[in-house]
Amino acid sequence: MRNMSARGALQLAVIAAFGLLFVLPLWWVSISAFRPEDDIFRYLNPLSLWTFFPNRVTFEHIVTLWTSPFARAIFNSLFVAIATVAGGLVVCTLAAFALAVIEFPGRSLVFTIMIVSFLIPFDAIAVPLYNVMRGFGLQNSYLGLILPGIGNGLTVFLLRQFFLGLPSDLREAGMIDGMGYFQIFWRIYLPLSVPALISAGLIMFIFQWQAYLWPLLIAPATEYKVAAVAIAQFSSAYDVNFGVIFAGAMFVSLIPMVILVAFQQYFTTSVAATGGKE
Amino acid sequence: MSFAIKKLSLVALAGMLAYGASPVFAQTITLNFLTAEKDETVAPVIEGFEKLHPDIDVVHTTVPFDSMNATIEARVGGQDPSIDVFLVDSPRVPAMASRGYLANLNDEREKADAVSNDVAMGIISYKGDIFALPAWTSTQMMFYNKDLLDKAGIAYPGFKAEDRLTYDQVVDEAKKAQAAGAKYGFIPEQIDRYYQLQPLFESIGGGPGLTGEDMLTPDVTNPKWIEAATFYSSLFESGVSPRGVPVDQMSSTFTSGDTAFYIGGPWNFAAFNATEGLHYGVAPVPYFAGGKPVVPTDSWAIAVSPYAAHPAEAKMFAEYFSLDPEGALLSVKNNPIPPVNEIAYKTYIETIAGLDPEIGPAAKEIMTYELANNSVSRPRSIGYVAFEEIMNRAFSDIRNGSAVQATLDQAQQQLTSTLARIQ
Repeated sequence: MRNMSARGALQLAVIAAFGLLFVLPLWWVSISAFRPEDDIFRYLNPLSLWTFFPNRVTFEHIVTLWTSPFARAIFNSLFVAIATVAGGLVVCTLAAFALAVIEFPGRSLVFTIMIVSFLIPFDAIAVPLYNVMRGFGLQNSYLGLILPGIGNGLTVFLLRQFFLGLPSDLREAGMIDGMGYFQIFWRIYLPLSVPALISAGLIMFIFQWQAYLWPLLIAPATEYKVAAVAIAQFSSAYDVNFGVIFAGAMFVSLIPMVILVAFQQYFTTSVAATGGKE
Repeated sequence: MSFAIKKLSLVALAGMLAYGASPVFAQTITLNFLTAEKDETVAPVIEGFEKLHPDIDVVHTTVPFDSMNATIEARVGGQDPSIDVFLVDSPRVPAMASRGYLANLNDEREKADAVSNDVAMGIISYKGDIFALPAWTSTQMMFYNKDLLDKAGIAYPGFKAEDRLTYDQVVDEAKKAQAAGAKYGFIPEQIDRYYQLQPLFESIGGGPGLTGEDMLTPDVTNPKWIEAATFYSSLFESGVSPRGVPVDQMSSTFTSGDTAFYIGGPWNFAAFNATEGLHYGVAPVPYFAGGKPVVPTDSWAIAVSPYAAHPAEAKMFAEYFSLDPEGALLSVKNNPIPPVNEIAYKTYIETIAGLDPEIGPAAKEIMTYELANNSVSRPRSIGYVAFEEIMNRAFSDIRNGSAVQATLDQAQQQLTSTLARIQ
């Protein structure tokens, strides 16, 4: 630190200031979960010390949150997200491998359709998809929540790009040794793709974790309600309980935050690697 | 087959026969009830109904308020039988009825007429038939902060109808209160929503903004609309009302002791009374000098899905919720807004009167008078949903500083083309 130049110190200060700017809203939301309801917006304008530090503390919102079916909703969100990652990785890696490695007629067309599928906003297909799912009797079921997340076009795209970046010599060597496509996939491509798989898993996890419209339509029953929907229900036509909403938002943000921080190095590695060809 | 297995089979067969024959094991019907309310709000009325009908199990599903209409459109519009009965925002009844989302309940009309007023019956009608049963209504009053008025040396406004202030008087006093330290002078709670602002235009004589036989012709640029909108714009230009605060955070400006005058509904009593150190009073909603007093009204009604799995039971529940005084009262036990049911209302208003000796009796007098004399429903039109969306955007623009005439001209143009498509 003693050797830091004035320029370095200035850079550090600017970076720290920007970091603080990003953290402040999250800090304010978290701290507001511990304020009495009538204090939450009291110190917002003009900004003061009390905007960011509570002068009265209450645990009422935390108690209200955890005495509601919120714990069940957190479990549901976790279960749905993890099941989607597990099922989605199987489906998406196989699809990406086929699109990257196996030559078959119409491969480019299939790939184009896959690209278009993730460019269409999910909200646009939610209602017709709901009618299809209802036809299969998947209302208020985990399967109804999980299925739309399994085939993720963006994940297939990223994995395909990663697979294209792997040297083709490895595949050819495998073939000379008598390996079939599945063995090449299983014994060569998958072990080399761990960072890309982690990245794909994160994308699918976040997709399900932040899903709102779909769970609201397909699984509104309390036993299947996910966390995002459970939090929104602390707002009714005549009453918005901001303290409880903020408390819920704080807990709901923590889980993906921990996962992202734990896996961030793999995420950046794989994103940087996708698209690169030898 | 061994003796033991034979014996077991006979016991099982006897058990199955007994199950089929016994009325005690009659099949329970599950009725699905969709609302934007919390479970605890509707729990008393569900409990009351299930006590009367032990063979019916009412399962409440709640969706967030902002997603309620989208959910109804997706699920009832998709002919989903898993919604039997649901709450519907009254002014949306004509639009929803025209799209086939609501079962015709005209055979309940006589019973509904007996316990509801004409305003409430009107808003649930479409082409002469009723498509919902009136459940709740709403009215408003003006809350004032006694400490801020004391500081500015302003006399408390009275609560009698004849004490009603004009909007100009309130704004003058609001500015005095601000000069003496109040952060905000005067705030209508749902500050850029048609529900809250309709009284401004109606009070001055500008009409609801829709005209014609089917209420599908826009009329938001007449001189009275411009005059009322100019008044509305001036509230923000002068800083009497805040620009940046969203509607759902508005009540906190009053509980924090920052606002001198605040127009809102009885749903605020719980939060206001729970706020330590907040000394407030209530007065009637202001009016424009030379105009008439107008107060917003309407709330949710209860409707039966045309695709309900159990339509007869759904109708029984809707009747209990709306027409039975006991059910109507239970529906507002944990929700402080007035029931439409006139018999239930008498008990409800006594609860309000007993809130606090300084506020309760005044609130009772204001609410009863306004509901009987000055309530004006939102326009009954299949184009109401589109109208409300366009007008709410226009109000928001004016609030943020857009020119009044240009904004209303643009809204008029948008309404003309949108409503023409609906016709």
